[in-house]
Order: sequence, then structure tokens, then C-alpha cells
Amino acid sequence: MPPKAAKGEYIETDTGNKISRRSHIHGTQHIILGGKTVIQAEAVIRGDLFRSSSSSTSTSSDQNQPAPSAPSVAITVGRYSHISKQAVLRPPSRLHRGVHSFYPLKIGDHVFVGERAVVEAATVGNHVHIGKEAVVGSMAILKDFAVVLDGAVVAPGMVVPSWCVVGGAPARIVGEVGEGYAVEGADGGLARERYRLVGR
Amino acid sequence: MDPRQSQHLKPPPAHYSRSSSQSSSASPSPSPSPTPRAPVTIHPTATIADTAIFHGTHPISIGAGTIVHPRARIYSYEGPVIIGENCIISEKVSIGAPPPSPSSAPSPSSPSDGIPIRISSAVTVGPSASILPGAHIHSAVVVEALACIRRRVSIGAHAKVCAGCEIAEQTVLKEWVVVWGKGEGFGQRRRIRAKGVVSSPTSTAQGLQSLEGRVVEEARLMALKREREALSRLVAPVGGGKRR
Amino acid sequence: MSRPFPYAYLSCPCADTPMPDPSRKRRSRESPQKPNPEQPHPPKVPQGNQEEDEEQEEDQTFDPRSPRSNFSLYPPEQLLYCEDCHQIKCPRCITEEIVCWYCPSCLFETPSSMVRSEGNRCARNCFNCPACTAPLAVTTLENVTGGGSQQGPWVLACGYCMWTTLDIGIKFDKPTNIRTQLFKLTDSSRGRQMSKTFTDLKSPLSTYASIDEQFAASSTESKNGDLAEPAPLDPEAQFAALKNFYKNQIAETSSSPTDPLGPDFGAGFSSPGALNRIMSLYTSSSRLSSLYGGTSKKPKSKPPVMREALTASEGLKTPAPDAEDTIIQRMVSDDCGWDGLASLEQRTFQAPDARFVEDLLPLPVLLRTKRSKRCKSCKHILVKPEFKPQSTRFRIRLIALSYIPLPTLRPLVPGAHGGLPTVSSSSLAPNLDALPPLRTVQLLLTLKNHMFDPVRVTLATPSVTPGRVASKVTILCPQFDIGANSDVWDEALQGTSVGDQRASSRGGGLYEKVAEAGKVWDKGRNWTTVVLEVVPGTLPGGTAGARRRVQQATGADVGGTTTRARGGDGISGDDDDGSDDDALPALDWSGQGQDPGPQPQQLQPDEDVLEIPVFVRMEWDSDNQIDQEQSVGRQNADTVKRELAYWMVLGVGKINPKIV
Repeated sequence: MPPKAAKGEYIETDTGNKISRRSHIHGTQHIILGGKTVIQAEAVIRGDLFRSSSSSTSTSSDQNQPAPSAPSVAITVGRYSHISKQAVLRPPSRLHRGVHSFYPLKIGDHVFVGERAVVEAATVGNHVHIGKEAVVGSMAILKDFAVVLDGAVVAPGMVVPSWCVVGGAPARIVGEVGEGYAVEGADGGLARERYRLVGR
Repeated sequence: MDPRQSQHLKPPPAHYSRSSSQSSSASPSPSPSPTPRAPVTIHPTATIADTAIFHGTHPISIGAGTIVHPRARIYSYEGPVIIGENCIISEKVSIGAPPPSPSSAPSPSSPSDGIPIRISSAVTVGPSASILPGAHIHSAVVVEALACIRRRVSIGAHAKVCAGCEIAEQTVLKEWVVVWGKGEGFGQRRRIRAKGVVSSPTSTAQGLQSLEGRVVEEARLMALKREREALSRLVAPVGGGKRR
Repeated sequence: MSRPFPYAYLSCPCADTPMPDPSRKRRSRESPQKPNPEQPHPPKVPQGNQEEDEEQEEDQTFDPRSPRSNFSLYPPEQLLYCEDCHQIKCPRCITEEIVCWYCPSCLFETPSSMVRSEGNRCARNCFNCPACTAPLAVTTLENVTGGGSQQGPWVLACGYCMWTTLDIGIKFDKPTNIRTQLFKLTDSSRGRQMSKTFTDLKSPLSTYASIDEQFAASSTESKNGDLAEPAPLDPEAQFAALKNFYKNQIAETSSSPTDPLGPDFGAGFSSPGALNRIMSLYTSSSRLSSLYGGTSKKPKSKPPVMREALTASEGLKTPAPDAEDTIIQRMVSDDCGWDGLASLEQRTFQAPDARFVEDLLPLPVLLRTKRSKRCKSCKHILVKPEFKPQSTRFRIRLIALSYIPLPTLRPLVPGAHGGLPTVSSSSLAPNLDALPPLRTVQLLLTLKNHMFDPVRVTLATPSVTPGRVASKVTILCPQFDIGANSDVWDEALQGTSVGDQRASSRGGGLYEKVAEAGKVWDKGRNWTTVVLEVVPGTLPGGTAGARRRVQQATGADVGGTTTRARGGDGISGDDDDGSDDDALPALDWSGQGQDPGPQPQQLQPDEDVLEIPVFVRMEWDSDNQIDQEQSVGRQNADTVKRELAYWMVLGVGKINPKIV
């Protein structure tokens, strides 16, 4: 990400990503931003937790090469997504057949991640809204147009279907958004406007 | 992010623990920098991310095999912080109380030893959780993301504090307790995990010998061990062919 | 979901229109055949418009605080639009039809034929934790117990509260068909036996005469079974037995064969004949029976008495004599205690006799549905989603936002680079969560047109918001035009340029721009922005005279409010000056002090929320078909004048209790 020299808090990349200078991005080579994505200050993005390709790493491998040449992707974020202040994006992990490995965290377009939210999902679809201080557990799947209310705790492995609103701890489906959700400019469709206003 | 090639040995990058020499020499000499760097003692097999922060005046010790993720902040202004073996401290965790004033008054209140934070072995602390001074967290406890452990709390072994839960001051949690639900107070629920053989009507009707609930915990700890192994390869200075 | 300020809600007109009201249809039809009193003189002052509307149903100010308003206010994206009725449709104006059932956890569809037999729950491996309702995962214990060969045993484990089926002593041999396995485990020997018994006894042995045989039959059956004593049925079998029993009872005791007894209970009991029969059971005395007619005239048609279940096979459950004692003893024992008891929330979804946490069974996930929606009055389909559970597409989706302008509100920040939509870091932006009373706030209301016709919009608002907290509102330009929406592709292509243009106009030249009465603030291809001036009122408590809340309840008093509002309008200038000079005695807005009696000084809940009712009337010339996407002949000359009117509520912010 060659930064276009810019003043102010945000660095704007060639593809229009606005990255706060005070964001904490680790393992940049394992992160793909789709463009026009905003990452605000003190957001932690753990690109360094990628899936190590070598599977011989179970118990007693003393030295293991992380193989930085093979750019395995840890986190992808789509277009017009917004990672608020102090949010944490962290690839999910699990133990499978005795091997603990990280899985990529895929975030779609027009996704909003609220302040201090912790997202460890496997998939976050398009137009998903994650409220502030929400926790999305490991390997959870948020389908398109899902809404996670503020402070909700989506349990590990939970699937939130499209158009569903989940809230509470542990999160349950508490409602559905209207058919007009995510229409440009209406609720859920403010991503472009949000992007435009960042950094000015 | 920048690989510190020179440091193959465990010790964290120089910028925070210059005062702590390579292995275990707690030198209680807060450098006269604006933020006092705590005297840190780190076991050689621990994995500390280079962006973790250790501030304070009292000693901080980290046991074998423990993983400290990036951006974790450990403050020892009010007392020592002792983190045991095989723990995982996630990103943006805050252990201890941040300095009372940002102005660099080193040790404004250090009566004797202060109140220690003790974290036993195999404890997992999730992202953005905070643990305040006086906490005593026993072994195999899970503190999930955004949870808050207030002052002088004792948490028994194998307990779990679920995401976003807040443990009020001076609470004593028994072992194997799960605190879940919303925030603190009325929204919060507790339950006790089964650790022995449970003979419920259904299982007796089933006529099979049951497994102890403990095996689930053993499986979890096994998974935790694997996770630590994976993390020890990923966290911390990239490129430095990791140690051990 | 409450929203952060500022927000805009729309009021569905169904709220104050009873269903079969012809006026509603009329007003939503084409306007030419309808007299329009406002047409000749477009109101310069918005509240003038208000007053002249007297003969229409909108003559009353919409009060966002009225208890009924809650039921008509919706965020714009939740509203639909019926093209036949030409009317906004809220969730109360529609009927729903289920398109498919699916499990929200595995997202597999359940055929409608299977939904009932599977209890409306997922038949696969999806379960919710009985302790905390989080989803359960099928996990293996291989790491501890066996080798890594993906062999069992398997358990269901909750990733949230760490409950596992080992808590109730259950494990599974294979990771598939968990629900069947679980059913077999919980429904083991006893349940199996009894349900077989039950099916054998399906024949309706339900009169008194046959009870003895029935007893004999069941006892012989149970002798054949493994258990000597007929163990209590498990809840499902018991329910099935009871249901079957009462169904037969109803069938036999129903007096008339013409009784429209359905196969189900409900039909039988809800029929008039059944009601009559039930009433007659209790009204054998002459007076009541004469009241209820029929029965006294033909006493011979007294129906046979329905009896209750008497045997276990009929679903009767008699607890063991010491059942209570055992439960109590178990409760007080050390290994149970408070934590061993199931909470009420947990028991809600469990079998009725589940008392302890060891009794809690995993809950198969309840299915969800995708639904199509129809207009209640014309049965036109408004929403039809794709059938597949995973699809997010719609075959038909007539949302209100395609027809009515989308309102967005944001504070006008003087001299700042563009109005930030939310509470911003800019010190100039007013803090919407604590608006200082009596200090003018300027807001930008943008209406964005999604139709392909230009729209003429007239806004009207009461000069003073209804309620005790009287905030003064002025729309500087109440009448304006919005350009037509062009093709979607145009928008997509111009999306950035529009934004830039907008941003530049906001950030650059508009620095010294001052809101002017009668002029729109800003205008784009298909949107127009006007300025609202709001002077938040003072909250009761600090001032002497607070208006009684009850008065707003009736329509007459709402009119009174408006009148007073006009009075308030007159002195408002003084008030403004007064507040600036810190001379605060002028707080007595519009003569509230005359209200007699001690007033409740406390702030009612949400009374400090500043919400502005705004009446929106939009007029446009349209082709005969509104949906021009489908109509081929765009050059169709005969355009129709249409209009649509509705209330919307703009949530501006919260008023600070203290006067700054």
C-alpha cells in the first residue's frame, strides 16, 4: 500500500482506502482491502495470524518457517467498509484434526464495524452492520444484510441469516430489517456517505 | 511489524524492556523516560509481540509459554503483575490500571508492594478485555473479549467470564463457574460447569457409562496448547526464525 | 432499535384511517377530481397551510408523542408502497405468506410438508444451548479420549457458556443425525414402549363403559413391556395421547353431526355448537338456560358429558406420591443448590417437569421463514423474495423508498467543511444529545427523489411542536421541487461526481452561505435540501408553568395547541432575545402559566426528545403506470397528476435540561 502523501489523520491509498495513521495493522502483506475502506484510529487488524500452509507443525516442530513468500491471506475487506475506532479484526482459528490453524476472515462490501467491536468471524457478508462493542465469536458467519446490535455477543460458530437482527448476550435473532434496508442513503446504505465524510 | 532480525532470543524488542536484561533479572530501575518502563521478567519460552506495552513501576513477570498479543498493555503502577505459564493475552487487553495522570509522575502511589495482579497458568484473556489491580485469576480461566475484571476480584480455576461481562469489585468467583449474559448486575447469569460424571435421568436410561465433564475441559486445554504453539510461530517479530 | 439522532420516521397513514375508509382511497387517487384548497395559494408560512386543511383528515397536527404514534411511525426503509392503492404500506397494512421455511443455523430449507412433523425445528444437527440459547456445535472428544481418527465420541458443546451434552450425561456415536440420536436417547426404552402402547390404543375407547377394559388392556400391555409399572409417558407421547383422547371425546360427545367439527381441537371448540354445549353444562338452572335459549326448549338434546383422561395411556399423568419430596430433597442437597436448578427462562423451552439443570435437553433450532407480502386491501403482492433461503434477491420488492423522497436530516454547521451527519468532533456542530434550550439550531433536511418524475414537495409543520416542551420550528422553504431520478447506471457512474460536487459546494463556496427564507439551501440532480430552524423549548421543571400533558390527548386541544402556538409565534422573537440576554423570565411560552393546578414537574420519559412532525405533500405528473421501468411507451402523452401526503417525524435531538 504505497501511501499517497496526505495531510491529516488518514492516509489515502491508490484504491481509495483511508487508513488512519494511528491504526494498528499487523501483517499487512496478508491483508487485502477492496478499496474505499476506512480504518480508523486504534483499530487492530491481525493480518499476521494467517494460515500456515505447512501442516507438519503440530506438536514438536522446532523451527517452522512462516513462509512469508506465500502470501496467504488472513483478512480481506471489501469496498466501502468501515472499521471504527478501537475495533479488533482477528482471523478465526480452530483445532481441526489435531492441528490448530487460522482461517481467513472475509469481510464484504459496505460493512460497518462499530467502535470497540471484536470480530473473529469467518465470513461477514455485504452490508453487514456490527454495532459498537459487539463481539463476533470465532468462526461465526454473518450473512449479507445481517445486523448485530450494539453490545451483542455472537457466539462462536453462530450463523446469522440475511436480513436478521441479532442482539443480546449470547446473541439471538431478535428481528428483521425492512425490505428497504441498505437502499442507498437509507439505514444500512450509508457506507458511501460515511466514506466521503471520513477525514475531512 | 518491522522484523527485528537481530533479536532471535525471546526477549521483547528493546523499546519497552531495555531495563530487563535477557532472561530474568528484575532490575527495579524505572528509566527516567516519560513513561516508566516496568521491570519485566520474561521467561525465554514466552512469546511477546513487539507492540505490547509494559509500563509501570512495579515488576512484571511473564511465565513460560505465555503468548502476549500485539497492543496488549500491561501496567504495573499500582502493584506487580505476575502472569503465569501458558497464558494467552490477546490484543488490546489492559492489565492493571493505566497511570493516574498522563503526566509522567513515576509511582505516585506506591505503598510498599501495591496490589498485585496474579494470573495463573493457562489463562486466556480475550481481545480488549481489562483486568484491574488486585485481580487474582486462577488457572485455566477464560476471560473473553471486552470483559472487565474490576479490582480485587478472585476468579476460581476453570471459570469463564463471557464476552462483555463485568465482574464487580471484590467479587469471588468459585471455580468452574461461567459468568455469562449482559454486562453486569441483573443481566448477568451464572452457571456451574459440570466436571464430574453426571447421572441424569436421560443418561441412566441410556444405560451407558458417561464421560466426565472434565474431559471437555481437557480437550479445551489441549486445543489451547495447540493454539499457543501456532501463535508462537505467528506472533511477534515476523521473519525471526523462532526460538525454543 | 432506537436510532441515533438525527433521524426521520414516516407515519403510515393507516394509523388514523380505519380500514374501510373511502376518504383514504379518494385522497390517494389521482388528484384532479379532488378539490385542493392549497393549490391557489401556496403557503408562505408553513403553519398557515396547517390551518387551511381543516376539512381534510390531516387537520390535526400529528403528535409524535401520542401513544398511538408509536404504532404508525416507521423508519423509511421498512415501509412498502402499493402501486394499486397508491399508498404507503406499513407492516400493519400487509398480509404475509410463507415462501419457505429454513433453519437459521444451517440455512437448509425444510419442505413445508415436513415442518409440522418436525415440530417447526431443524431436523439436522442444529441445536441451541438449553442453558444460554447460543448455538451448539458438534465436537469430538478425540483429542483426549482416543486417537485422531475422527472417531467419537461426539458431544454437542456450547462455545459460549461451555455447556456440553456431557452435562446431562449424553454423548453421541456419530456426528450426523444428532437429532435422531438424541431422540432415541431421551426417548429410550420407556418412551418407546409407551408410545407403542399408545399407538395400539388409538381406537376410541372413551366412554365410561369401556374404561375397565381399557385399564385391563393397558395393564396387560405394560406387563408385556420391560417395565412392570406403566412408567409416565415422556412429554411428547403424553401430549399425543392427550390430544388423541380429547379429539375422540369431542367427536363422540358432539351433539349434532352437522357440527362443523374439524379434525382439530380448535375448530371443535370454537364452533357455536360446541360453545352452546359447554354453556349448557353450566347453565342447567332455568334462569341462565333461558338466557341462552335453545337448551331449555329441547332438553332431550343434552349432549353426553365429556370426561377427562383417566389412564396413563390416555395421557393422564399422576405424579408419584413422594415426587414432591424427592424434588425438594434434591433441591436442598449439596450437589444441587441454586445453581443446580433450571431458571425460568430455561424451563420455558423444556419439558414441563424439567426442574434441574440436568434435565435440560438441547433445543433443536426453531425454523425461520421467508415471507412474501401482500397489500391487505387490494391483495397486490408487494414483496416476493426468492425461494431459496440463502438468496437475498427479490422477485418483487415495492419499497416506499422507490416512490417517496428519502428524508435525511443533519445539523447545519456554520462555516464547517460539510455537515457531518452525526455528532462530530467539530466544536461548531451542536451536540444533538444535549441541545441547549432556546438557542436556534439550523438543520438541513434533504429529500432525495427515487422516482423518475420530478416531484413538487410541500412541507408543513406546526410552528410549535406539540407537547409540553414547545419547540419552535420554521421551515425556511416549505415548497420546492426535486428533480427526477435518472437511470440507475447514471447514478452509479455519477455517484462519485455527485458526491464531489456536493462536498465541494458544501465545503467551498457555502462558507458564508446563510439560510434564507423562501430559498432552497442546496439542490442536486434528484435531491433538494432545505433549512429548518428550530428553537428548542425549555423542559418543565425549571419553569413555573408546565402544560398539562393530558391536554394533548384530545383533538380539540391539539387545535388549541396550534392556536397557542401562533401566539407563541408572536412573542417568539422576544423570547429569543431574552434568552440571549440571559433574561429568562420570558420562558412562559404562549401563556402556559394560566394553566391551573399543580403541574407535574417531572420530565416524562422521552419528553426531552425533540421530534418535529412534518406534513409532506408531494405532487407529480406521472404516466398512467408509475413503474416506468416496465412500461414500454414512455412517450405516453396522457400523464396523470398524482399526489401523496403523509406525516413524517424528524428526531432532532435531546434538549438539555439546563439552560446554557
